[in-house]
Amino acid sequence: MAVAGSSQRASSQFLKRLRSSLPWYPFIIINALVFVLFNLVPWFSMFRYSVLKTDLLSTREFVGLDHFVRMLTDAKLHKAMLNTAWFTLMYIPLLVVASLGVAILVNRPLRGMKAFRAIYFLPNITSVAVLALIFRRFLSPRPDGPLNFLIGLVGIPPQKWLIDVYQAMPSIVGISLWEAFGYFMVIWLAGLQAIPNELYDAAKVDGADGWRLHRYVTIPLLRPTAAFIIVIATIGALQVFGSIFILTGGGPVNATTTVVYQIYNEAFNFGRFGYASALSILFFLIILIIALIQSRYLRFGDDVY
Amino acid sequence: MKQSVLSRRQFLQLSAGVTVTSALAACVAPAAPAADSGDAGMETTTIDVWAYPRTENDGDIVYGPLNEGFHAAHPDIMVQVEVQPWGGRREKLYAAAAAGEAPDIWDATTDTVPAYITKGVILGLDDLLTADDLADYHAAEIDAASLDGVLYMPLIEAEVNGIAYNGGLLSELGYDPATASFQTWDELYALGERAAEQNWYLESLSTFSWGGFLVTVHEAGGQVYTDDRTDSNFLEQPVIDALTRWVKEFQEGWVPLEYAIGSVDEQGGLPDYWLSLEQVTARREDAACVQDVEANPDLEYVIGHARSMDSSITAVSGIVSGQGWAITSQSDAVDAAVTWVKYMIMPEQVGTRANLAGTTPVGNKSKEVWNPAPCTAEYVNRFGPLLFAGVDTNTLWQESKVVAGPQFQAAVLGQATVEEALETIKTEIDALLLEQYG
Repeated sequence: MAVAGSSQRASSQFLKRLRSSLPWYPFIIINALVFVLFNLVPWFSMFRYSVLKTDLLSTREFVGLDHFVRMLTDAKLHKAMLNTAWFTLMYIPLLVVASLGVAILVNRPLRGMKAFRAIYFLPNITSVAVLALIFRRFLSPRPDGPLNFLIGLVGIPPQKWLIDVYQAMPSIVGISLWEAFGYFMVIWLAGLQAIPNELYDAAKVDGADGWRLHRYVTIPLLRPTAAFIIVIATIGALQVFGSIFILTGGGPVNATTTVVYQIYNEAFNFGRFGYASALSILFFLIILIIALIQSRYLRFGDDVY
Repeated sequence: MKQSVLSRRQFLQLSAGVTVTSALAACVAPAAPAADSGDAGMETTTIDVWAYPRTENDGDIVYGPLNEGFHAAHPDIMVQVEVQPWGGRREKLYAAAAAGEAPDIWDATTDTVPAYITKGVILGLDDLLTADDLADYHAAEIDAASLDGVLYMPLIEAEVNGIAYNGGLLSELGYDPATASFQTWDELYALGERAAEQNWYLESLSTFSWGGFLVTVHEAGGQVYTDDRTDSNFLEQPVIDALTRWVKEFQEGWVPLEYAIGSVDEQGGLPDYWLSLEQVTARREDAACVQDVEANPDLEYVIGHARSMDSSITAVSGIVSGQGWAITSQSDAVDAAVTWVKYMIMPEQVGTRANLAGTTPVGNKSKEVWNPAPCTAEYVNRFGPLLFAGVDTNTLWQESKVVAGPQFQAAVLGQATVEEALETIKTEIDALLLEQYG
């Protein structure tokens, strides 16, 4: 009897809990469905296609690991990987420093700071296509191009920017920084505002002021934020595509062809969807390994207090 | 304190209900368009057409009147025209076809078609259209819409490429715009030198303009691909001459340097030096004599002449490039689609469409219905007969563009010699020819 009663109680509690949580399930189900349809299914398809020679339309031939072997001798892929690494190595340090610097500046309790924050965030909500078109004009190689005119004022000769094999990638880095730093500034701001004032007060009592307050309080306490930003920004940097697609088409002479751009080329310009899928798997693994290493060494997710 | 009308729980339930209902509504297939009241009881077939814009509202301006006439003649066929943006059209059709969702009819461009024919996306129409249906077409127009002798997409319009000059700039350079002609490369180079002295550009060249490069090769009397598509001629003299000319023009500063790079499909965001009256000559299409002057009334538009490297070579004006109606192999209403295509390629419909869309029709009789501006008619009459089509225009179009573009950049930016660049292209293109055609 007691067992039956306890089982009935458990069952009625379960039903009660189910009833109380019922309104949440539609939200979860819809998101889960979207995730499965648009992330998980394509993800598994990628593995399936990676062992097929297919243009998705007319041909479908099993080739085993041929695509992965081909990557070893694909000079265009090697160039694209170097370009992607070069972009990431330039982009991440500059992004971290610039967005943190601006976040510290706009975190001051002064009039008009909200307006500055909004202004700095604006490029992030502007279409990358629009930004790219504006920058294409701004970086004109003509001596009277806007940027060449500005650097001419301080005596620097006109540069070719996007047309130059060596300057094209740094130019893309600059444009990408302009687009993204506002977003990361907001994340830094959240981190800065989560630091209790008491810690600054205590540091001041200990004799810290100015830069030393940032050195001994702000920066150490921003470590979790920094870890998050570095991991997320690195993943984003490795996947750079939009600005390159619109601005340079991977040129000049493949100087800005990144891995994602190469994947797009293989798939949509050459119809090699199998090879493009294999490249995507390789790239997924590279990003995964980099993110895991970063998470481990940056102690992503650890508490600091 | 006033009680809230909705409790948190009720609000959540209401939101969840709305979200689920919206999601379900979005997933339900759209209802078939209602048949006209007069057609009650008649079984209708619906066909989907993907088209690309020529006016600010093609749905109403172009396809409204055309489909009204079609529907009156064929009340049992409903036509849904979806006017899509030009950007990403290749990728979108590719994705739709791969997902089995291709439309019945696709407004195809000649440059994107070869790849879709090879992949079986588009139906050959030889058995579906009669000689009478195609009686109004020129041989080159049929050729441009065919592959290996099979017609795939009867054209409805053809862009007539030709050469135009800025008469004002010509006068300032000491030429008489009424009589000046630059029909050989040497004459063009002389014009380039004079233009450079005034800090004007001669013309503009894009390293991803495969069509532009083909025209230059044909001006030099050559052909890029062999007739049987088993080999390429990248190391032959006409192709070397063509790239040498491009390199010369870039290195002399006769063409805007910024056009050396850019998207494979577009050159958005670049200044238009032709319209800003800083460029002496340009390759333009059909009605540009009207549109360009509308855009800048100070432009003195002079229609030029077809050109060749030297007078011993037959001059060409450009490629037969245009739009045509292709029926996709996934269509489950092929008969209805053929009926619509047959109606739309009737000379009077082709001419009417050209009037509505502001384009140039193909064929002869269609031009009797066509009402172009006098300068457009002169342009089309002068350059139309000198257009070319054939193996170069329907072999590896997109692939050639993507393979050659970076190597053209290497040559024009001094990173490689012309021969080195062409050798690299040939190696890659020949491998593609082997892969595609065996």
